Amino acid sequence: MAHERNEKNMDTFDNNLVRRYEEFTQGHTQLRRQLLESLPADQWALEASVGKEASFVGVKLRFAIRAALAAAAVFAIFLGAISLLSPGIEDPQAAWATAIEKTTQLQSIHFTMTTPNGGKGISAEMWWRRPDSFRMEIDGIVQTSDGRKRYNYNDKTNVLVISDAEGPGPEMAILSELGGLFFSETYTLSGDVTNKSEVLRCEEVIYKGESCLKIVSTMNGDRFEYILDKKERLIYEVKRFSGTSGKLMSHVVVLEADKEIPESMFEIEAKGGKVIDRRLKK
Amino acid sequence: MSVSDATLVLKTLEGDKAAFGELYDRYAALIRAVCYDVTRDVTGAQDLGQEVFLRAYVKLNKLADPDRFGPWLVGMARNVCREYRRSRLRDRHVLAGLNPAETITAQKSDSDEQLLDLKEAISKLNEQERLALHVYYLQEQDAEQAQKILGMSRSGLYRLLAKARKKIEKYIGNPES
Repeated sequence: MAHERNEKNMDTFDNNLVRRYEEFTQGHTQLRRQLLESLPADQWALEASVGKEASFVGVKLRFAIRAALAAAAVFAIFLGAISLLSPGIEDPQAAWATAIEKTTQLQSIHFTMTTPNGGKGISAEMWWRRPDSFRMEIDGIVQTSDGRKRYNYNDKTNVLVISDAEGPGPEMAILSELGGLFFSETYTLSGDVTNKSEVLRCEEVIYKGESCLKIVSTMNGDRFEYILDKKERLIYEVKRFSGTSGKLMSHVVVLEADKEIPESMFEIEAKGGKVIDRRLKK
Repeated sequence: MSVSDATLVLKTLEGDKAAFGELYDRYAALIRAVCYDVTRDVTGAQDLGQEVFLRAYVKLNKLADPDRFGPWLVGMARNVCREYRRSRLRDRHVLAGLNPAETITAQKSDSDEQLLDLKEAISKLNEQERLALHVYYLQEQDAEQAQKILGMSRSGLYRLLAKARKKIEKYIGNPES
């Protein structure tokens, strides 16, 4: 009964909000006409000698080049633009979807994530093992879980708090898209990533001495740059840029994948008043 | 299937003003709502909204990623609002004798008390909460689109909306708070 009443209240609330916002649609047609009439003459038309279809490609390329300029050297952009246009390169969307799929199938991963945040950023190192064991270290604070217990340890104060593990904790949220892929078996982010993202371009790059693929995509307004192993399609690196400011928001670098992680990485003991963390050798 | 914002931006840049008209249809109400937060009257919000779209059109070729037209436009609206607020502070005589409370009183010709309370309650929210409400309710309650414009996760959006609703309900229940 209470539930029904809540739903009814919510409907009224939503309806009132919808009604409130109707005010902003008033006079729309007239305002639209006024605006379109007042727009200045075309100012971005490409050279008259360029055909209509060609100019459309030109504008798209111009955007791609401008976006790339912020991140790479001119030569790399040139190569990237060529590779984007080359019919020889495989379907970037498919290559990228394969990479996401492969990442969701990994049994363990070790990576770092940095959030610059205007020079006051933080850097976290993370180990994750399916289904729910993880270890995260941020500036002397360690959080681990073996799936049964959660351990929060502050190396500076030497305080250890042990609690029952109840599913993935809020710390997983900071791991952004890549971390989200490991969140749980049922987590739908991998579907979200593949369904809601749009690949903007794909190019070959040299990453740490290896020939890799760089895929640039957008999702929910933000821009993502993925570096993938060209052959295996494993993700090596992800950069996320803000949709509004264009600034780097997070940078994930994968250090190891599918490597066995010892159980001791996920447990911190307290014996005789002493904290024993094998990773920190305490 | 509807044409993407990116395609409409590119068509506009080719000189297709109708494409810009379509972008206007998609975002004008939202931009007016954002502007209303500073003007506190619908006509002023409409004028400021037109200014936002004019600027957006002129600067459209500077948009780095056409797919981000929505968040870019909202960012531009917030800038225009900031300028408006600053100019209003400079030209205090424009509002001589009027303070925000009086402005609200002047609007009380609206017969629907519920809606008036709602307007007032929304104005009490912080900017981020207001923006989340505007985007959600002016994009046909499409969470995906709202997320894209606000640049936040789905859970973040719902959290923000829930917080905003709670505050509104509290305010409407007790307007003196």
